[in-house]
Amino acid sequence: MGIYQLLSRAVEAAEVDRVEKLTRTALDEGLAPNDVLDNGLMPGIEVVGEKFGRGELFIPEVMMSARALQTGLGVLRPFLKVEDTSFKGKLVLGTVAGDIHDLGKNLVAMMFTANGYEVIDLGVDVSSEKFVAAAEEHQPDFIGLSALLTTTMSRMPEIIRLLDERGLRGNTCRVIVGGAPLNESFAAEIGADLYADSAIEAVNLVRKTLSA
Amino acid sequence: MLVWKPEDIQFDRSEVLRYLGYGSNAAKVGVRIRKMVEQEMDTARTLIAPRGYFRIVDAAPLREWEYFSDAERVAFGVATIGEALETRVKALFAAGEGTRGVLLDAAGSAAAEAVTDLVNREVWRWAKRMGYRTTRRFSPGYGTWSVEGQELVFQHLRDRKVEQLGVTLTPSLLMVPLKSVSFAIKLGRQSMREVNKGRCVSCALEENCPFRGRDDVCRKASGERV
Ligand code: B12
Repeated sequence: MGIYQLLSRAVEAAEVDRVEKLTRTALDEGLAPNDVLDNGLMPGIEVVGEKFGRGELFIPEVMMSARALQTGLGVLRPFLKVEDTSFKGKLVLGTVAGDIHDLGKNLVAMMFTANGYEVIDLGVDVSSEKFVAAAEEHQPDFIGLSALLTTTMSRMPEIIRLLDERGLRGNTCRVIVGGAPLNESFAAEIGADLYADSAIEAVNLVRKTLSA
Repeated sequence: MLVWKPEDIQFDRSEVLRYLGYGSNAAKVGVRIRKMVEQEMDTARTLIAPRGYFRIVDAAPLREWEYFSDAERVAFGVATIGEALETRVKALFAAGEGTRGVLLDAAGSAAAEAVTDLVNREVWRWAKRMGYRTTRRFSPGYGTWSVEGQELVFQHLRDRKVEQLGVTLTPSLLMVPLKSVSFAIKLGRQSMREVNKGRCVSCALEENCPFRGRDDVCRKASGERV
């Protein structure tokens, strides 16, 4: 088995130490850092994502693999040029005002970080103005909004409206929403650009959007 | 206020796995995760402060609400495991231990439901003593009752004892601590309509209930044998 395949398997099996060792070995062998990422680490997490989609793996396993991926990425990062990664992007993320549930948001943050995205986590109970200010300051590719209850998801339209008013949304900055009480039709109704019902699906969706 | 010791709270692994999304796939849990689940369940037991409270009120002023139209009295209750577990979950995420964080959080949710079961049981005990039948519990935000029902529940729980309990309702109708559950139960001499059908999952009775899953014949849940 080649080293890429070994790496990919190690990510899938969430063997953190092995991923770290193999990534170093690959670099020592003179392989290009971006190839190690694209051909070794990423295929591993993609398999994990697919298995999650098919109900063969569950959140804890996915998180362990994400951790392994992140470890490998940590080894590579000093050697990667920004333009090396085909899918990178920046995500501003937070739980909306009046809501303090952060588990879902934290999972989303973790999956995106592990996949090489830059995540700016605004925390919980984030006011609409703060989302807008962060959009202005960080110029992200995506703004992610999370909520636990129907009473708090009702803050989302206001954020979208404010972003539109300031011209901060468009093809370069899209709003992605999620959380337990949300669904596709609510997302469409409030004019969100994207909706995902899990952190894993969110990563897939964003990757697709960026490569489209 | 009702207070329990952490060891009085029985939540089992299958509940925790259900919260983690395994559902009927518990067999697919790997050895490593299984061990971590056990560990986090143990940790959870050191972090919970199980408390609850309920009040029983006359249903007459509530009859305009369809949910209570056939009740004589209504019990409003709330249960919590306190804040410490949530705080630990946040700390785990901050330390890059997200997997453990998720497992501990699921254990906390299972524990919160288990405490709710105990508060529920106290209501049933009270009802039985007074010769009332009861319905299963139903909660704002679940089934057909909207989250706005939280206002009604907390209106009836607004007294010093709830303050001692430490559960507050925010203007956006979120309870703090997060790991809290509120509910209502109908009481009456006649049998009453169940608000949420097919809700054995929220029933406080043992797994081995012979009527589990058979709402049509759920006698135990109406307080006959608690
Ligand atoms: C566990 C749970 C509880 C636990 C713990 C709650 C907590 N916050 O810690 C307990 C038992 C205490 C509880 C209580 C209540 N709950 Co509850 N609970 C759930 C349950 C089963 C899972 C929530 C959870 O933590 N999941 C795990 C995390 C990781 O998932 P998540 O936050 O949803 O995030 C994932 C996705 O949504 C998505 N995502 C999240 N954010 C974002 C953001 C972006 C940008 C993207 C792309 C994706 C994304 O990705 C995440 C990871 O994959 C849901 C039902 C469900 N199946 O989701 C109900 C649910 C959230 N609860 C509900 C309700 C009503 C309540 C109560 C109000 C009931 C009551 N009256 O007491 C209380 C409220 C508690 C409070 N503090 O106010 C309703 C809410 C419906 C509504 N009308 O708003 C739900 C949806 C159940 C239902 N089907 O009706 N609950």
